[in-house]
Formats: sequence, C-alpha cells, structure tokens
Amino acid sequence: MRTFPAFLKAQQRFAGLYRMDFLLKLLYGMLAMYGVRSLWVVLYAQDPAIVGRSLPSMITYAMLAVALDIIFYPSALDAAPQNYISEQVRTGRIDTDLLRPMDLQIQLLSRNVGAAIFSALWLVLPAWLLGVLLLGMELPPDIYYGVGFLVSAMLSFLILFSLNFLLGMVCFATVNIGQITMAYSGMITILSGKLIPNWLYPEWMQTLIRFLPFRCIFETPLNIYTAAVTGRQIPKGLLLQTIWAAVLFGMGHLLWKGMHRRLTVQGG
Amino acid sequence: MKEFWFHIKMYGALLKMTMRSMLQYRADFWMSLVSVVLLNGANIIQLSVISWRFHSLGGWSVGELLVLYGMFMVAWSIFSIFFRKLSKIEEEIVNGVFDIYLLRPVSPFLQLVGGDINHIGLCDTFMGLALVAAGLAKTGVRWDMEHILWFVVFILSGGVIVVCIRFLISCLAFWITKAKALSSLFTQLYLLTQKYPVTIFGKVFRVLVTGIVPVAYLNFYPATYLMGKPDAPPWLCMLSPVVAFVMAGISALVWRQGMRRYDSCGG
Repeated sequence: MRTFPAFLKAQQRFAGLYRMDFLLKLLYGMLAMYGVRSLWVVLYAQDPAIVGRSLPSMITYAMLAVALDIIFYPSALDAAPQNYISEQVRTGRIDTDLLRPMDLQIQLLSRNVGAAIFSALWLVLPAWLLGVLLLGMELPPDIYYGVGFLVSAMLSFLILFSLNFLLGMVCFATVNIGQITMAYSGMITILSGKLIPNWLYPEWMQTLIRFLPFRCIFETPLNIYTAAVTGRQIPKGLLLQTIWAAVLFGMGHLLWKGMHRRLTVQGG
Repeated sequence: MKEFWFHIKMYGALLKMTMRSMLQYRADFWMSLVSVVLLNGANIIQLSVISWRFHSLGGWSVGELLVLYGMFMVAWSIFSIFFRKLSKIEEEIVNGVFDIYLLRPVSPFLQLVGGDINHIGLCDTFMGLALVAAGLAKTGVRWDMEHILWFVVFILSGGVIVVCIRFLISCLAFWITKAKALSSLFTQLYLLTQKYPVTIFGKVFRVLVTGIVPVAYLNFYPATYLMGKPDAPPWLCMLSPVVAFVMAGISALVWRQGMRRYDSCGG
C-alpha cells in the first residue's frame, strides 16, 4: 500500500513542471464554462419549459460537467490507462511495467488518481470558485448534497477508469486503437449527460441510457450537486454507481489476469 | 517577379517530392474518414438534439447550424492539408531541423510548408462539404452562381485566416520556447466558434473572434451572408478577403522579424 502514495507523488511532480501550462489551462476551463453557460442562457430564454429546471440549476449542471471533465481527462494524457497502455505496448516498454511487483491495474489507477487529484486541486477548484463568484454557479443546497456529490464524483472516476482500462486491454489484442477510442469517447460524450442532459433525449433513448453505465459518470454526481434528486434518492444513486464500479473494475481485473498469463507465455 | 515564379516552382518541386514519399505509406484513407465522422459525430448529435428540442439555437435552425459547422471544417482543412507543418515550427526549432533549412538556397518558409502534404485532411473537406450540403437541403435554401462564388471566396479567405492564426501562434516559438500550452486555449475558442453562432456569447466574445483572433470569418460571417441571416450586416461579412489579406501581411512581417531574431537552439 506504500507504493500507492509514491506513484501519486511522482505524477504530481511531473504535472507541476508546467506552471504556465496550468494557468492557460485554467483559462481554457473558464472559457469552456462560459461557453456552456451562454448556450443554456440562450436556450432557457427560448423555452424554459423544455429545459425543465431553473436557469441557475441548469447552468450549474453544465458548468460543473465541464469542470468534472477536466478532472476526468487529466492534462497529462498518458495518465489515462488506455493511452498509457497503448503507448507502452507500441514502444515495447510495457515489460518494465510488468516487472514492478504490483498489479498493473492498481499501478495505472494510482497514476490516474495522481493526475486527477492534481488537476482537481490546481485547476478545477479555482475554476469552480471563479465559476461561483463570476458565472453564477450555485452551491449545493446543503452539506449532505455536497458530500454526496464528492462521493459520487469519486465513484464516477472509478467507473470511468475501469471502462478506460477495459479499453486499454483491447490494446493488447490490436495495437492500434485509434478508431475504437474515438467511437468510445464519442459514446461517453453523448450518453453520459456531459454534453446533452439525458432528459432531453427521446423516450426510447432515455430507456436505453438507463441500462448503460455511462450516465453514472456525469449525470449522477451532477444531479446530486444541483439537487435535482431528492435526498432519499442519493444513496440509491450511489449504490448503483458502486455496483457498476465493482462490476467494471472486476471485469478489468479478470481480463487482465487472462491476458497476463498469455503474455508471459508468449514472451518466454 | 522572376523571384516569385522561382518560389512557386520550388514549392511545386517540394510538394512533388513529398507526395512521392507519402504514397509509399498509403495510410488507409477510409479509416481516416471514419475517424473524422466519429470525432465530429458527438457535436453533430448534440446540435441536432438541441435544435430538435428547442427548434433553433439563437435563431439558427438545424440546417443553418450544419452549414456553420461544415464551413468551418472545410476552411480548416486547407490548413490541415497544406500547412500543417506551420504548427510544428517549435518542434523543428528544438530538434534542429530548422537550421538545415537556413543552409539551403530556398526560402525556409517554402521548405517548411513544402515538406508536408496531408491527404488525410481531405476527409475534413469531404465531411464539411457534406454537412454544408445537408444543411442546405434541410433549410431548402438554394444558392445561385453568385452564392457559390462567394462560398469559394469565403472558404479561401477562411483558409488563409486559419493558416495565419496558427502560424502566428506557433511563431511565438521564436520568442518564448514553450508555445504549446497556448494552443489548447485557442482550441476551445475554435470549438465554440465552430459549433455555435457567436452571437450567443455576447459582445466581448464577438469582438474577440472578429477583430483579434478572426475565426468567426471561417464560418459565422460567411454563413450569415450566404444564408441571409440578420446576425451581421453584409458589408462586415464581405470583409472576409480583406481580413485574410491583412492577416497574411501581419504574418509575413512577423516571419521576417522572427527570422532576423532567430539564432539556433544549439548555438
């Protein structure tokens, strides 16, 4: 367990190298938040009934989605498991990862968590603060929702990581995952409630989305933060997230065990 | 004048050489087309869902939004097909390739852009044109000869503008050695302009993308004029070639200044 903080620290140090980078990224985040805010202000003015919630609640939802997105797609892109694996497999350096006396999945999780914590602290926290102060972002109604949101966001991260790891496993089968990655991230963008709130979709699509894990990544935490769900529904949402996280993480674990056995045999 | 033709001839020769080496690795064109569709698919779906639900966005119907999005792609592809190398100046300087250009008796600029042609960028052109066509079909607007001529002028001007913007950003590499971070900020600016009519972002944003980083001339002003939208006066839209000309002039000045100041990384 001691190795985990070490990986974390290494990632932090790495990300800290580019301070100018981070200032510009903060601006980037602010611009993106301003963009979605303007979009929903205009749409709300056009037809508040279709938006289906108050304007402050809607722009909070949209801007927080942008902020979460920054944490989930960390600036050090190679921290994301699928990119890391594909790069290591392509260059043949994956064997150094396998030599470490630690499960690959845990290694990658530590790496990813390190990058995410860094961008959460240095990028998203200031962006969120500025959002609240300047762009009219709301706070969660009380501490219960606030904590619920934080827990939910962590579970979201775990679900996304597990999905990414599964995608990374595909790398071992086919070295080039370019198109698959694009289709995959397109799917997440569309089905997670990040770009389009799911309640705007036609009925049949909403039903479909209900059975997929993607909505747990953005919609669940965002709905908790904006109090679009009642306090009683929060534990239910968290439970569903936990189940998805456990299933997907477990699947990744099993797949990797099988894959690892094969790799060892091939490598001699 | 003689010098001018010499440069043109050299560019042609360089392109021919590059083409020959590119054809050796004929990357799968169709796979790239799939990538382009996938990359833009989420945005197209988002715009469609929004306009299906709200009927329009800031007064723009779904067809008009598709024209907006598509024109941006087409103008942008001029950059990605012919001038992609311009955004790699920093890299070339850092790894010393740029010094080689200075030793040869042909303009370093030509060597830089002539050394690369990216036929995969054509996928953007095709998808952009398809979106424009789909948008026109959706709105039922018919373009006559004059519109089509203006379309060509707009696309060419837009191409020049995007090339100049990307070039100027990467020219910062002559002054500061880490210009890469800046480009991610600009990416967001491009994305907002590409997807939405810039009128929804308020005055400051509009001034920014009109007069400072004139990306609105890639799609917003052209589409406003061609689709007969009331979002901007026609004369402002028709300024497009002038803006392109000014941008090119600034770029040329900056390039010369940068070349004078340049001393190699290694030395």
